[in-house]
Amino acid sequence: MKRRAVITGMGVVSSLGRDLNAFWQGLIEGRSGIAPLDRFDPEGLRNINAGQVREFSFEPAAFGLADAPDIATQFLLMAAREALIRAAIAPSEERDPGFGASFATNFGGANSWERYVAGLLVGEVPAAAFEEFAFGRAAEHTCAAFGIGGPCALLSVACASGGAALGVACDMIRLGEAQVALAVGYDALAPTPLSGLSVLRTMTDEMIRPFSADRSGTLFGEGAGALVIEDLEHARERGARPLAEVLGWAENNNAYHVTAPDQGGAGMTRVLRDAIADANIDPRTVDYVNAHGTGTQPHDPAEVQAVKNVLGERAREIPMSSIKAATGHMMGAAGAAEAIATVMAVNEGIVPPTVNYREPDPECDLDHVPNVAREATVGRAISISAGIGGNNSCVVLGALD
Amino acid sequence: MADELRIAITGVGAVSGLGTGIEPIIEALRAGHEPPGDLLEADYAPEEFRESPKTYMDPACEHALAACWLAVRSAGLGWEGAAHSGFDSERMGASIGTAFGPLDSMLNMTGRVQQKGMRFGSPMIFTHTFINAPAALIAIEYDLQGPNMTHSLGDASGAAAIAYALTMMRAGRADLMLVGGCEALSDPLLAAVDETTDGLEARPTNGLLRTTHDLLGEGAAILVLETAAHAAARGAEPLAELTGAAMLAPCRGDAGERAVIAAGSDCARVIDAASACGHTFGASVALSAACCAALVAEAEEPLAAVSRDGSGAVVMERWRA
Repeated sequence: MKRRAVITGMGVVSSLGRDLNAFWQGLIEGRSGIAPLDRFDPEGLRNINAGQVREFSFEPAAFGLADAPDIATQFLLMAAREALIRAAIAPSEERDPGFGASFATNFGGANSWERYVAGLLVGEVPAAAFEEFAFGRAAEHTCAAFGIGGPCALLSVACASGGAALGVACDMIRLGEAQVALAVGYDALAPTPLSGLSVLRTMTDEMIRPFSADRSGTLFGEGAGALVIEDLEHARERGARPLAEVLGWAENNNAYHVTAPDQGGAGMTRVLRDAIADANIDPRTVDYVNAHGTGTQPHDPAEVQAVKNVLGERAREIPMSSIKAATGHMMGAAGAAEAIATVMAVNEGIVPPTVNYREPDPECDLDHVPNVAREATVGRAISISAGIGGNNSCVVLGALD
Repeated sequence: MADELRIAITGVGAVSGLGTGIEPIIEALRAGHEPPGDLLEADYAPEEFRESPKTYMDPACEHALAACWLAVRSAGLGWEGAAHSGFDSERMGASIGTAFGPLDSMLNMTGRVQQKGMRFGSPMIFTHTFINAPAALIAIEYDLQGPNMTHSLGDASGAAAIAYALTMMRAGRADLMLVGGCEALSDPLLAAVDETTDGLEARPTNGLLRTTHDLLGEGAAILVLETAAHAAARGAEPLAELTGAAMLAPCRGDAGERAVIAAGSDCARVIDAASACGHTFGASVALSAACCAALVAEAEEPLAAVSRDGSGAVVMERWRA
């Protein structure tokens, strides 16, 4: 019989708060964690506001570390720990070969890179900062902290990363390479990426308003989303309650342009179609779409078109919301945090709203759940992500039958 | 193994400090002596190895695109100018490993931001600073609309990229993928290596910067992977069969063993391109794998490429029709 990959624990660090409860409460109350950035001086950015993680503290010793790792890795470790505690999985003293991990990020140790370059510019070489920047470092720290000794991946497909991390972990389970796999998307706000996203004008100078006619760009956030993915049989044997099943996933590339979406959302259409085919479900049984919904002028209509292309008439009957105006666009963490919001929708029967929504747009004419959360029965749902470089990813989630 | 699960290697391309192509690396491996010096930089004309003109390109991306250019020709794909009628773009993809990615462009961008302010970042340079830039540019260059992934796990990055592609293709998600790794000897990398090489043996981790070879190199290697059916349909003659791969958590040193077991083999001979073209970080396993593909026809046993820390490995065999 085919192995089934289920989610048995989740953890989130976001601008809405330091754990899953704060994240979900913030979402369903329609709050936003976006506020003036104060970890570094935002002077020169189009917008001083961001979804910064606040009141965050980190104890290196709790993870077997002598020194604090890069702040993005701190978010990763804290979210992963919460997910494992919720799944009732104790860290293994020895490296467990049945315990896999799939990590995903846009910018890795971006703040350590800033420190490294600041040193180079004054003739110093802070090599330890370079090592903390190196993408593989986060995997080293996390695998050591939790005794992960099975298959491992550290992926980067820009803002489509989080969804891909979940998909790769799902495959580790379905192929029998691991019985438990941690999937984490993580990223931290840092001056260089924010400068780039500002000068590209992906960042609005006003406010993030996904699917609203007056949208003018996105605002960025940070944090981590962690999910414990587990073989259903393994979960049942140890008495763990599955929160949802990862039914399928897909990732691809538009092969069109590094920053512009392709015509009519063709790449996103294919990634949705392929994910639904991988899940082997009828698209008419999808009850909710958790959108990438960045709030940029060209992106949102392309995504709406892709959903219409694949779900057909069903697209008009179901909610399709974006949580990005609540959390800020969490970059490499976005897909993972949004998958978590989707699992919560499945479990709680509540769909999180698209906040900051003001004006209907004829090109974004689906039910975008403006500003107020809504009760809904969600048996199956999809979560979509897309990123710079033309990468797309999509995850199909469902309630356990 | 059922035919639909067999994955063929139908072409390889490489650039390294020894020049363009896999041949100079194979010659140096046969000669069995390490080149003198401590840096082996890739010195070639990157603009000659592109299907279309580019206004700006980071060296890490240049290496990746040049290796692709050579690989698609080696595979006899007839994609000159990137036109590939008769192929299904949606069934083709790319999977690339790099430990550090486009660091020259990152230094350029961060230098501007730190010295002039966040208002003065360059939008054009910024889009080339993403670690997924090499894989994304390959997708655009060759219209590869299928799976597209970037992997970064230090020296094992190339093994991660190849292992991922093997999984995706065996799952039926693609018929053809360009896979491998790239790394550039950028100034920020060299500065960090110079600063850390002393005393790194004492580090408790697998040491991202630790070098066991005195010689550092750069470059890229790309393998053309095809399903057996796809290769047969176009009359391609495979160089090798990719039979197994393993990518394990850092500090696990037994990926070679795992990959051999996954390949259904008893043992494999390890080929290490580093003794010819220097240690190339995230490109190292891909360069070794390209050498395996070039050498396996004359080998009695399976050949393996293994990352320096042992956490990633790929195994291949002679193609048997």
